[in-house]
Amino acid sequence: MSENKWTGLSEDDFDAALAVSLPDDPAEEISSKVTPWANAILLILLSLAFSLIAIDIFPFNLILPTASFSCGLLGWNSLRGANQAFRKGWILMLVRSAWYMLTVFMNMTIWDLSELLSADVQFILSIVSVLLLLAQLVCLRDGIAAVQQEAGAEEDTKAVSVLILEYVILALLAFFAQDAAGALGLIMIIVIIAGLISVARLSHALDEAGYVITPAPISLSRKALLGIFLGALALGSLLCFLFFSRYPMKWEKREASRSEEAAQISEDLLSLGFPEKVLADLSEEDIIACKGALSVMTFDSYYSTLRLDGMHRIAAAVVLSEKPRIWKVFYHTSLPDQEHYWGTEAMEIRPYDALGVFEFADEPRGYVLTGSGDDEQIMQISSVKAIHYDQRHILNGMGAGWFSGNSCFFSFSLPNGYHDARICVSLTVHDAYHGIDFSRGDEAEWELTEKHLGGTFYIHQNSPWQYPVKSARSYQMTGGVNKPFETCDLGGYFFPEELRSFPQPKED
Amino acid sequence: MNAQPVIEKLKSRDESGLQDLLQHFGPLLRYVIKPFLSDERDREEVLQNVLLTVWKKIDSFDAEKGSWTSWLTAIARNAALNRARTEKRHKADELSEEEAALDPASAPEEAMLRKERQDTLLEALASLKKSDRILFYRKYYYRQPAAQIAAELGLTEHAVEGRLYRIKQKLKKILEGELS
Repeated sequence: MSENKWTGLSEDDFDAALAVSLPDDPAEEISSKVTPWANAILLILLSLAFSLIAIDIFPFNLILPTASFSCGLLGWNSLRGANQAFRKGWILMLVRSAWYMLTVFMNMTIWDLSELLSADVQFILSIVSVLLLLAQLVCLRDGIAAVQQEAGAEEDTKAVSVLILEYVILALLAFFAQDAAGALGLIMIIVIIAGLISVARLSHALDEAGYVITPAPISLSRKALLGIFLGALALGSLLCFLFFSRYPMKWEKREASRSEEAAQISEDLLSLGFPEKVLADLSEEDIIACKGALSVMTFDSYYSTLRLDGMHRIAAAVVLSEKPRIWKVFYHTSLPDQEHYWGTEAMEIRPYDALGVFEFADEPRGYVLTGSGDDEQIMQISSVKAIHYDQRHILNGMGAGWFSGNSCFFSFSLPNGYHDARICVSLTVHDAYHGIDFSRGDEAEWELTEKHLGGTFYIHQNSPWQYPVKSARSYQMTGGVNKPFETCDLGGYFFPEELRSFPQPKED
Repeated sequence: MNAQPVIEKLKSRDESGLQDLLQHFGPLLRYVIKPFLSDERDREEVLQNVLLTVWKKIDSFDAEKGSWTSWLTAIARNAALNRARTEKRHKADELSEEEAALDPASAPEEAMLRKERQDTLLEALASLKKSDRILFYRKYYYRQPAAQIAAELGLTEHAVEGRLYRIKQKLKKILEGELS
């Protein structure tokens, strides 16, 4: 048995012995991996490829762009020391990544950029975002050219130039020919993927030929860079989600006592048939607003959504004057107890028709109540928004359709584990049924249905999983599908009562 | 770059093949040579020697036995290593363990010792992860400094040194324990 030739060596001798004991020819797996070029370019190409895959379904719409930016950061970081062009590309990558992070953070809140910023500003921001990407591609082309030049080789960057041109065409299609961009855009994406493959081939050729890039000194390892980017993204997203994915709720103990005037008006309302359950929840201010009520109409019914079973909605309309006819309408909705209420809820009131000339007679307002007796709490709904909007696809009890008109949204968040929640909203309207001849009875109802697309909707969030985070109102306005919301059509409020209150057509 | 046209030109003794070789694979050769020699003139001389060696030995290249890149980098690496040894010998007469082992004038038993060590080292290297093996070759075969490895692999210098130390300790355990 031969003696072990590795024992008894000092540290230095062992080191030296390792160096001289390697074979003269390295294995292919080693020689093909020693140049630094391939990895960096591959990461950049992967970054571009990921950015092309636009799947607007959670979690792909978060994972794919994040993967794209992660690869981009790693790739450009490796190249940044090689020449000026690559350095500029790295700086652009940092700017784009910061921009992306801000976008993700905003998307984790219920605040909608499309509402916060004007259409012009949004358009300019989109243009700048595309220009940054194009500038980065120019840096890639110039960087490769500089590496080739430094090595004394002929410049060959046609593949990258073609790729830039393809991106320009795709961007123009996206901005100016959205309607026609469908099939054409798909073709362009296929062309761009072919372009990416060409650049990958160019990169492989450069790698095989051993084009050398001078890596910048490392102060931050790739792992650390990736960790910081993903960590900051995750932490920022989490904080934004935790603090800004719900409406701020200011709960107060409800004062039970009422003034003498309010008590008297309450008596009058009860005598006119105002529902006691609703009256018990009205604020002093709302009761006083009903002073001099002429008549009361109500509409009482139960509704359910897939996950919200047994909502009890009472609509009570108080006629305050006849000429002009002014209504004070209350929508009182009792929610079933739920273990979890995620994010946001909303109630939408569409008081008038699609032709939309409706005006509110005063500021709509509302509040949420929970508990009873000494435990009763109240929260004013601060997010009340009267808005004109167009919705291409609504999903309600009537199926898909479109809506264009005025609406009033009452948006709020509910705490988990609440008990006996009631939502009470009210608005005052003029002549809501102007032009409708109620003496025609059932025909008047048909007329109402055809002319008026008005109604009330309750929008319930049934899961926290969504990206970008949308509020219940935003979901309802954009008509999303497969999102963690469901809309309950609460019907045409007090129309039937109104019809029943008027004389039926005379029989001939 | 497809190497085949260059190889064919060289094999057919077309001197323009050397120009093509320099143009297309010069960067790779310079990359391999650089860590061994600090002097730019020495590196250029070695590069010329490599071109000459390729010209002479091109017929021995067999794509079935190994890739063109491996063959080429091995020539460049060995030429640069020999040049570095010569330079070192000029500076100090004392032979190190490494030099003694590779000195052609060394006793035949030294060559045997080297062969035996090579066989066991290759076996031990096979037990490493591929990424560790590449790191090991970068350090001990291509003689790349830790700073260069760190920059190219996106690691800190400290991390590279740490990983190399752990690789070395693992190899030491395997190699020392193998026959004991």
